[in-house]
This record gives sequence, C-alpha cells and structure tokens, in this order.
Amino acid sequence: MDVLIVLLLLCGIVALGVFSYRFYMLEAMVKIPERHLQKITDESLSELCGLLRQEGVPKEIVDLVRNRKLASRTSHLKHFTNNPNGVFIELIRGAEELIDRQYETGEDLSQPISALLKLAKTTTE
Amino acid sequence: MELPTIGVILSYSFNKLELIAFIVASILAFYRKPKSYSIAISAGVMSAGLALGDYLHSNVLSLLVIDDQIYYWYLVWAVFSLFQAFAVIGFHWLFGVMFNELVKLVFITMAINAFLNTLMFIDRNITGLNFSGRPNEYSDDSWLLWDVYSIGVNANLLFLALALLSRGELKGKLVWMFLLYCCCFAALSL
Repeated sequence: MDVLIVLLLLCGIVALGVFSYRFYMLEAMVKIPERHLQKITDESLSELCGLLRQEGVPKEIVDLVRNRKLASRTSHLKHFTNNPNGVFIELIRGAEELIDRQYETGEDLSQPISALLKLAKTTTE
Repeated sequence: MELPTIGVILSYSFNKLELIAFIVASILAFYRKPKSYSIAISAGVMSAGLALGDYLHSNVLSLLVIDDQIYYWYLVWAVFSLFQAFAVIGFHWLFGVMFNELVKLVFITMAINAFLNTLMFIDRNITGLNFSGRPNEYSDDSWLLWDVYSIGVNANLLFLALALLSRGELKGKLVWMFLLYCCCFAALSL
C-alpha cells in the first residue's frame, strides 16, 4: 500500500515536471485560450447589451444580440433605440465588428471595444 | 531563552511570513495596475493551501497518536503540494485566465516540495534512505535529508512568494533569481 502511495505521488511529481517543461502545451491541452476568448467575448457582449438596454432597445432584440443570433446593424438598430443618432449607431456598429473580429481571430480587443462603447455612452448623455 | 525555543519561534514566524507574503502578492496582483489575474490566482491558491495545511496539521493531525502523526505528516504535505499546483491549473481554467510565466515556477517549486515530502515519507515509514536498514522513525535518527527537507521546503515557499510579489520583474534574470533563492536558503539556514 505504501509503495502504491509513493508511486502515485511520484506520478504527480513527474506530471508537474512535464507541465513546467511543456508549459504552453498544457495551456492548449486544458483549452485555456478558448475559455479566455469566450470570457472576454461574453464580457464585451454584456457591456454592449447593457448599453443597448439603456438606450431603450427591447429585451428580445438585446437577447438575440447577446446570443449572437442577430447583429444590431445600423438598419435594425435605428428603429428600436431612443437614440437614432448616427454617431451612436456607428460606434455601436464598430464595437460589434470588433467583437466579431475578436471571436474569429482570438485577438484580445476588449480594450478598444470598451473604449468605443464608452464613447457611444457619452453621445447619449 | 533556550535555543530550541528560538528555533521553533523562528520557523513559526517564517511560516506566517510566507502566508502573509502570498496574501499580499495576491491582493497586489488583483488591485494594482497592470492587473495580473494569473499571479492573483497563483498566490491566492498558495495562501489558501498553506492556511488549510497549517490548520489541518495543528488541529487534526496533532490529535493522532505519535506513530500516526509521523505517517500522515509528510503524506498530507506532499498531497497538498501537488493539490496546490493542480488547483492553480483548475482556477485558471475556471476563470479563463491565460498562464503567466510565473505559474511555471509554482509547478517547479511544488514538484520539489512534493518530492522532498515523499522522500521524508519513505525515510520515516518505509525504509531509511541513509541505508540504515530500517525506517528513521525518531528524531534521534535525524540525518542530512531531514536538514535539507526542513530548510528546502520553506526556502522554496519563501522564494515563490517573493517571486510572485515581484510580479515578473525577475523574468529572464536567472542570476538574480538564483541569488534570491540562495538568500532564502541562507535566511532559513540561520
């Protein structure tokens, strides 16, 4: 029994040694980049949807945008929002395009997306 | 005051110092810009593991008879060392956070600590690693491995805590990292 315990501990130690040597292989193996991408995309979408709700877009439409079933392109959005201002709609559209690009390329664009949404918010005040 | 008492107090203080250093590293990584969630997770898991391990050893294992204490002591610390490293991977996955280079250091130090604890487990319960022919069960049987173990595990933890506190400032500076490790080892050898 003791020998089995020691063997198990040694397996764990060797695994850690291999993980530290093949560090990025482990990251890819446990699919951390995918989780990271999903998380930053969800955060950006949540920020976008919050702003759309604030501007009077109906909940059903916001949910479609959140689930990536509908892009609130300029033509759709101006019929639903309390703020059909061209600048606001263009900024929202820009943020959406960046979210799409982030999702497709895996590039972290959360900061420019956040900056666009902040700018869009200032046009509503 | 007798010397052994000072020794016990010093080792207790270092233990608490490591715990505090991990907590501070975690808070700084979480709140100070640029934020590093990876370091915050690593330091947070390390501090939680240390606190839990301390609690378990002082409140649960101390209730056992001395033979059982000797049997479980190193086993629990070895399992905890491995558990901490795997928990770091798990929390990175859970929160979708990419690894910082310092996570590699967590794996290496925890692997060494688990290995030292496993050697002590073998030495004290299965067979003496100094070829004594029987397990080195009692403190009279103390030999080099015990000294390397008692300094090594704490030096590793202190080094890791300071490396996490530096937030990657020592990245790539192998000479400085080696010197820092030597300083930790020397401080604990006093």
